[in-house]
Amino acid sequence: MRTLNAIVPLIVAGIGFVACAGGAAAAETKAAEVASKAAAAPTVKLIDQRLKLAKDGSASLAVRVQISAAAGKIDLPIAAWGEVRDFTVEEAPADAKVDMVAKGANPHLSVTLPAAAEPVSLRFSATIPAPKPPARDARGGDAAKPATEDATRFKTFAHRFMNDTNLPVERYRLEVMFPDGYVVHNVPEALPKARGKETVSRVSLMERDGLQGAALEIAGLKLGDTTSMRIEYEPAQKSLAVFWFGLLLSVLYLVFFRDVLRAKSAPNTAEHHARDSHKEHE
Amino acid sequence: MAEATAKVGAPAIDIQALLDMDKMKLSSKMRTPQSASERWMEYLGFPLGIAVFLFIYYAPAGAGLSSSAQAGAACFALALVWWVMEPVPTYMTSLVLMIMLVVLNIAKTNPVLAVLGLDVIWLNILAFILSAMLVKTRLAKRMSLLLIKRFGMTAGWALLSFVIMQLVLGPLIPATAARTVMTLPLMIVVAAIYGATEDHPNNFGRSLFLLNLFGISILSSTAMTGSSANLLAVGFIETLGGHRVYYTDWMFANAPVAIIAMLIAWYIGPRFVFPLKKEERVPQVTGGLDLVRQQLSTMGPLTGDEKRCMAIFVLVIFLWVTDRWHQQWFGVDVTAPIAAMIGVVVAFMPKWGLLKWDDADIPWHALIFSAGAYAGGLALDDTGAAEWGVRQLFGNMDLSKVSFGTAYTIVICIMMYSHLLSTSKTVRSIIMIPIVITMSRALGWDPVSLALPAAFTIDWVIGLPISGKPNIILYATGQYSVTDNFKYGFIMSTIGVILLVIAGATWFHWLGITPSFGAMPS
Repeated sequence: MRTLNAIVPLIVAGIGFVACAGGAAAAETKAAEVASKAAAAPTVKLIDQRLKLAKDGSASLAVRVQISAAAGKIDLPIAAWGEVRDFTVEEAPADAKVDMVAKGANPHLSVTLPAAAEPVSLRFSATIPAPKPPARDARGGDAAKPATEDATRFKTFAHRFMNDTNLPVERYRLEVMFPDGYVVHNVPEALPKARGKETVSRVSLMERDGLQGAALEIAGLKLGDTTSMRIEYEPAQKSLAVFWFGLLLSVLYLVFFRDVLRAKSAPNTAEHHARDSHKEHE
Repeated sequence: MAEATAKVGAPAIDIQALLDMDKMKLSSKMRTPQSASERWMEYLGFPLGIAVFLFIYYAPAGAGLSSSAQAGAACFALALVWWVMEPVPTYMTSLVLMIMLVVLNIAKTNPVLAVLGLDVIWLNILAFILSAMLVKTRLAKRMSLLLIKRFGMTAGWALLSFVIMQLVLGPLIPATAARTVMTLPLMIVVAAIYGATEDHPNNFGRSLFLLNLFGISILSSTAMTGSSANLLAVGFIETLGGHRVYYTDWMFANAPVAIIAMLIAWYIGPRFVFPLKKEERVPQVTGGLDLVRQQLSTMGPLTGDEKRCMAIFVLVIFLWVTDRWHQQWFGVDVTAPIAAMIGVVVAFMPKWGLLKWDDADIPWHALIFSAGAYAGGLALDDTGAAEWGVRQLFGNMDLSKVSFGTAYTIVICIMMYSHLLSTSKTVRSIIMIPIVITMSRALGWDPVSLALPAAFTIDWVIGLPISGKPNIILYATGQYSVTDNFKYGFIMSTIGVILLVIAGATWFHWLGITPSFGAMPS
């Protein structure tokens, strides 16, 4: 049996989505129509994060964000853990200000946008180093082994996103691709569960360029709404022990149960069958 | 096979012995000698099940399929082979399946063990206690003798009377398991009168129990309120397909198909699938129908116990029939198992009750079988294996170049036979109807033209003892084997496909549901 406590190499927490005040000053310079649009219905139309995991636990991250008619400073949680390297802004309005900030244990993108009537598109990329193993395990015993050396074959990827701002997120998507040679074993958590007439799974599995992946997708995240997924993945190569065990059982059955082929003269002659044993209860 | 196990020519069957239901232990199933082909099936079933398991388990992972889903499908396939070919008892296969689900990390221990607490298992237990009450008070015997006296002069009429009974009960009691529980004691006694007991199952018993199973399942599709899965499908057609389906739309279209299917099942069952010899077509009791009449007259008027039994059963049936008003009346839903439990509590009541615990005959081996089947089915659903399979099946077929008739036939086939790999009508409805609607749209067909006929197949859960709640309850009587169920069920499923295809080309077309079968996608 696997022990999940020992197989948590990656915990990616994307908690919090805070839009700070400050938009009003920037909006003053724009036309009244633009300002009224921005004030009337500012929404985050899309947060699309793509994470590609490597075998050593490091990852590359690409983020795409679309914000409609918003202005001001917004803190965007990203699907990363600890230190973020090689941070590159690939697409952003010329007068936007983008910074990487630490907020709690997780890095956030701090984006300051000018007022705009049209949706703004932002794209960033970064690399994330492998997580450092904890110095001590939970019981305070020996130093815990690095995640990649866990005794069990399963690794766990977990992600949680909570919208804690008054900006609604119209669509949130996180796609994670697993390292070459790994497959998804199970999706123990995919929240929230499908609502009403939703027919598409919250988490869907996929394959691209020979790699297996999973995508968490949800629409309409209001203030306080949370979405999360937990995925167990394992090496694609399966042990042959099951094969040899099955083969052995088959051979043993064919050898020792040849008498099954003999005609049974009376109902009770098949003593070897457990199904007849309950006759004894009579 | 059926011939070999029939209790033909049983020397002078005594009606007293047959109707002495106290001695008829459901938990004492005993196998009769098997034919050579059955013995080979049994012998080769074991390695074949393992071979199928290994093939699926080690096959390259499909895109979008998790390894636990793949392993779950492999385990279910092994269990399916073993349940059908019976190299080991069915309950042992279920236990093996439950072990494999945990050992191969497909499911956790607690959810696997928790299936023994499912409502269907409880309903099963309660059903057999209520049946024991009807049998002990001799009310079941009286009702059955009346039924036989009125309709049972021949096996054909006896079987038809049950079909009519299920047709009448269908709209009154939507819960299929409740209908099964209600009619089970009558089936057991009538089968006994025709010489079919658990110890000595015969072809009449096979026809009777399976015909009732078909009646309960197929006749649920006569109305959209016949099952919650039907209503779910109607909801999808409305919300995703943009078509409102009215009660009468459903009933006018499908009730004739379901009734014709049942008449065909009634006709072919005792003639071709489980043929009855001439001497088996009359009650298998010494003295024949005269003795049945004599038995009935010697029972005299209703006893106090019978009246109390009837009152308890009427109370339970009342709660089943009025389920939609419970919330309004009591402020709470009294579900089918709880209604049965109320009846059982009254039946066990000291002093006024009718039963002691020892009177209840609960077939635990069948419950273990059911639990394993449900664990396997839930694993298929929870891991996404079932959904993946359906999506692959529809996704890999290019239906854009075929006529509507061909696409319709393929959809009906997939929908009909998919019940063999599922234990839940609701899950099938949730997974498959939206896919059919999406596919219809992509092909340019009106969604209702494929989705509504597809929904008509949802209640056809007749192929295996694991396919539905009534299946599990009736299989527990030991009157038929998994193979018997599969044979008759598969034949009827195929007839169902043929009927629905014919209806799609004619009746549904005239009703404006389907376009011409020759039409090509736009």
